[in-house]
Amino acid sequence: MDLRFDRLGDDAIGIALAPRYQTVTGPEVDVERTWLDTFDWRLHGNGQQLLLAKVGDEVRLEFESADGHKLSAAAARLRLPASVDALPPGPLQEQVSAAAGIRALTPTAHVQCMRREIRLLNDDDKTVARLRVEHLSGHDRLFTVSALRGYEPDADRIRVMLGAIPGADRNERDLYDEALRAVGRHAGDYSGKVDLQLDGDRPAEETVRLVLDDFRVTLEANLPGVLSDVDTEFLHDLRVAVRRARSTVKLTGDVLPHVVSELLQSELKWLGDLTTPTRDLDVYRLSLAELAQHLRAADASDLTPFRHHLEARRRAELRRLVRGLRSRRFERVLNSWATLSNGDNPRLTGHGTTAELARARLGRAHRRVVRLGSTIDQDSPAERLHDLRKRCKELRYLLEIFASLHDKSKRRGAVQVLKGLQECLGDFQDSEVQRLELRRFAAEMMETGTTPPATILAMGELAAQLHTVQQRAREEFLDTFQTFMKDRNQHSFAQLTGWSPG
Amino acid sequence: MKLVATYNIKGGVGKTSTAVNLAYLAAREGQRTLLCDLDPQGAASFLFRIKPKVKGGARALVRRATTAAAAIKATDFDNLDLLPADFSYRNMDLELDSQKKSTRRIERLLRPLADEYDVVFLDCPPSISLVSENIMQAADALLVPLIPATLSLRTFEQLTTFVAGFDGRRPAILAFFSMVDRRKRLHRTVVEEMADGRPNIARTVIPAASVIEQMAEHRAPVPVFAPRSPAARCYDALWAELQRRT
Ligand SMILES: Nc1ncnc2c1ncn2[C@@H]1O[C@H](COP(=O)(O)OP(=O)(O)O)[C@@H](O)[C@H]1O
Ligand SMILES: [Mg+2]
Repeated sequence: MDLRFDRLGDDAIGIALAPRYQTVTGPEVDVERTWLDTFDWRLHGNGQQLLLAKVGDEVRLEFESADGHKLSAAAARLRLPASVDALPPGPLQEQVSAAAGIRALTPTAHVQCMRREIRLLNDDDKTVARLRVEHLSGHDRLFTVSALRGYEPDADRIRVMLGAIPGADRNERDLYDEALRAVGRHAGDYSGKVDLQLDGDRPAEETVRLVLDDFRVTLEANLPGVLSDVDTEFLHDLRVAVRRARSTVKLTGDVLPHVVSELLQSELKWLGDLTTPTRDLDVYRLSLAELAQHLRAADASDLTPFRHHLEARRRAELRRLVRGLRSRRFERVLNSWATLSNGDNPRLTGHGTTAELARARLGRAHRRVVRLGSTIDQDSPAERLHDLRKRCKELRYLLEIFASLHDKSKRRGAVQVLKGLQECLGDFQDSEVQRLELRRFAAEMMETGTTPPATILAMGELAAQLHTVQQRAREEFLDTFQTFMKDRNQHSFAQLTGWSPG
Repeated sequence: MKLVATYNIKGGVGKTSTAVNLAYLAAREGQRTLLCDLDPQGAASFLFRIKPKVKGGARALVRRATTAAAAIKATDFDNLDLLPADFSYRNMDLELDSQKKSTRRIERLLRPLADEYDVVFLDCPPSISLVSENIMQAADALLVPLIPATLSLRTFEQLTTFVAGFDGRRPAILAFFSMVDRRKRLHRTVVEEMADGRPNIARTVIPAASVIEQMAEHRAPVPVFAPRSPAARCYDALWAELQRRT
């Protein structure tokens, strides 16, 4: 924001408050506010606000909860973006950490201005309230009256008395909104969830282009965060965008010109593969603390060399990933992906409406899940379950993409039961993948010749744990699938796809 | 929450001046501090420009757990609040006497404030009474100003003996010489002789100083209007010593 200092208004304050209160004006200080949130606005989503306020030489974090409760903490050495672990320990850190989780805090908006504090005194020359006047751009001012304990009625009266002065009704939250607008943003402008408003009567092809373009926008939004490794969720969201796009091309790409879908199909696979190693290592690092808690014979600290190994591997993989994301090939993928929305390639016609497409493709994806799932028994090879997991994901993506065409409550039932199945299959496959990777890591670490035996033993215990998880998932699968197949649940799908069970 | 009471059976020895200055210093360090003005004369309230008025008076304060929190007022200084005096506190003894566990009442009424404050100072009226007994039961530390006079020793030892008679928890006692005039021979000898070999007597001495008297004109703690005065430095040292020794 471009801000000019403006001296108007002090007399107005004195006049508005006389004869009841006297004013004592403090020195001018420079104030810089930098609001912080996670990239996906988790604090804002909870009605919370966090800002880094630099007042003169002092830097503090100020937090406000949804009910207006305020906390603050000194934060002289905070570097941005910051993980919640970097915040000074205390109640503020606990609150922010509960909301932000594993996401980093990044600056969202910034305002610089001059502030003066005016003390308001009663007849005994006792301070009963503090008034902060901040001079923003032009004649804009921000007034903040803070009550002193036991003198709340005075503060209320002062607010009323100041009400006549322009700017007195603004508060810090308004200021945040204004500062966001100034940089062309608004709170909640990014979310990892698919939120498409589709029109069922539109030609199917147009909708598919629109959907793919939405995923490209999500991917590009996450790109800077991946490149500068702000937190692990940028890569996660970027990968999800790629996978959603891949499934879209696979399941509905036939409505696009063949060359386009062909190209996207192969390039999105390349992109997916490019991101896999780093993400796998992230998943490992994120789950390690939890896994370590269940160690019995070994001590959690035995795993420290393993953690270091993971971190070293990740650094190497991230470098490779960054090279890939800065390559010509990636640039070309993005460019051709972008042409989908700008109509640089010819349009086809004759694929029916969006609603028809949704019904048909959801129906097909659903039938595939039912068919494959029904053939799986105790003795089926693991690959069958892995395949089923893929089919379930595809069905899930279609449900997300076409969500706006469906009745909320019917859709919720279908998603709910599908989610249960996906979780079971996810446990089954992830624990297998992690166990196999663990062997590879162990081999790598043994080769260095410096890894303590206790670490390898602890890793062995982890492998056994993962094996147990996988077995349990396998045992639970048949029940979970049966639940999925219950008439009541299949009915939800039938309503979305026009397919009738039995 | 740490509870410090300034106590002496006599008036005019520097209890209020000490409580006000040390509470200010604690707050300035960032500790959330409350000063309770329990003296019906309300000298501490006056020094912070706060009206000596508590809704419902001593009666409500003693009987209702919510009275204290509702009556607390912020001073002009960050982190420093005050529970004002009220003229009805002159009847505090009677009010306390009408209660069960009459010597533990003040301790009880301060308990709900434990989460809000790191340090609480109690500025006591001069006397031996149920009020003072309550305060001794509640306090973690008794800070006792002594005027350098031969009788002071007796008063101090009486107090030590009295506290030693408590069952269970006893407050730590730290006495210090107040209003010391180094030009007076009597003062010099009493300070030297009494302090010698008595671990309960502070090394820090508060001199007789006109800036301390001037608190009443400025209606502010000494470090606020005379930050570089010797008296301000002595209060600093006393606060440090109190924290070190109790
Ligand atoms: N060290 C000191 N030097 C000079 N005057 C003092 C000193 N301490 C207190 N006084 C003055 O003596 C009077 C009584 O002090 P006060 O702190 O109110 O004692 P108490 O609370 O024990 O009655 C006050 O006028 C005060 O300004
Ligand atoms: Mg007094």
